[in-house]
Amino acid sequence: MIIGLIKKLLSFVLDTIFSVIDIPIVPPELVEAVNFVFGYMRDGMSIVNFFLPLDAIAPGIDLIIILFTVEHGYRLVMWILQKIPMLNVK
Amino acid sequence: MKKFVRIVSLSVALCLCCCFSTFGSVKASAAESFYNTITPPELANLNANLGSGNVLSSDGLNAQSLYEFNNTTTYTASSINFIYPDSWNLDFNPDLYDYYLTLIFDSYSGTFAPDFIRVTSYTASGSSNHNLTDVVIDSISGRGSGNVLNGYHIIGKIPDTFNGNFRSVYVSGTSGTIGKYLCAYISITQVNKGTETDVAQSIISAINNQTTTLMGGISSASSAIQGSVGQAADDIQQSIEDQYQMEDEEDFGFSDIQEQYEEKMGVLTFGTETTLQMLDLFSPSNAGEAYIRVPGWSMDIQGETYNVWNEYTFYFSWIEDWIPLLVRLMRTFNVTMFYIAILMYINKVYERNFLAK
Repeated sequence: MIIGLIKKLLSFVLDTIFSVIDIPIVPPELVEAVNFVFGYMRDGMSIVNFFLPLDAIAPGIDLIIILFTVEHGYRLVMWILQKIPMLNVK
Repeated sequence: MKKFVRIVSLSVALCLCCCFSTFGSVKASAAESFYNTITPPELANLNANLGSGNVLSSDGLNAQSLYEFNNTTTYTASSINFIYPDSWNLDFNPDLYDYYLTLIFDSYSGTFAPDFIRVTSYTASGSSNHNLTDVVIDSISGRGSGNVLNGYHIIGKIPDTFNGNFRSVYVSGTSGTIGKYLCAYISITQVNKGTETDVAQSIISAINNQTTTLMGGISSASSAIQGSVGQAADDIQQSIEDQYQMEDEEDFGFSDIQEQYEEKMGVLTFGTETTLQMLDLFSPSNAGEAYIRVPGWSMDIQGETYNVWNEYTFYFSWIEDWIPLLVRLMRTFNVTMFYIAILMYINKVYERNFLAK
């Protein structure tokens, strides 16, 4: 009963939202084209995996992502903080 | 002193690279041997049994084991891709039938949290993914001691967009590890389209057929395995009954709402799925067999077709079979270069942030 009520409430909210916002659908041709391209990319990654095992480089990629995020995240935060005069951050 | 520190750092890094690459090679070779064990001897029979031109059984359904394998190696992964060496043509006819995929994981341990299960269809122009719908995941219980088989079974409906050329089954657990497993069983159940009651009855009959086929197929296996798979089939039957014989619409959960609004989300859903597909490209377990296909070429001259050359597929595994040592050395070298580049990047970041000022 409770689940039914939640579902009805959820449906009501979503119906209201979607009656106001009409999100366009993606043309099937585009979906097909994207899947087609991804098929080729997947085949390409298989070739990359043959020469450079993804298993082995996965920790390295993680490290790059972490370093990049920390460095640029820190800079972004500091840039915002420097814009607030009362904090006097330089 | 500074030079000495750099040389020591580089040496340590090179050692780490070698360890990583060796580890990668071992993992890769384990995965390859795993795939190699999947050489479905039943493929020919399947084509015969499930062909569109064949007469189905009296209850209008058919079920056939796609593959059963007893693998003694235990794997731990957050996702697994069951790849078939040859694409398997199901003679898919979604106008007349519904198709259900069944997976069984035996001797299972760990957290089982698959986010999605999908099948990949395969055509000459490429492959495409189709996520299963109405997925039911249940644990297999009621085992005895000794040759205990603890596992999970998964049932899902193959969407009608699937073209019937079966290439792989992919189970992904990005939110947690799939865990350790072995002895997986995969089957396809073909059911006549009809009312919900008909479908439920058809599926139950299909499961019975499937159980019979399965029990016959693994007669050489131990009685413990037979018992467990039989129990699994009962569990499957029960879960499908639960799914289709609903007394209250609440029992459907939220999947119907999700399906209802998935279409309305339109371009947003497309964006999410495309992003996930993009991320999947870098998943090691998702990498298939490397090959290059050269298309055939023919010319029509005065009504006659002349083949200039036929289609040819070159599999890179041939190089590995031919010169395995050289391929391993090349991989080790590539991985080493990759990690040296990373070290240079780390050094650059360090200098940029700590030395420049």
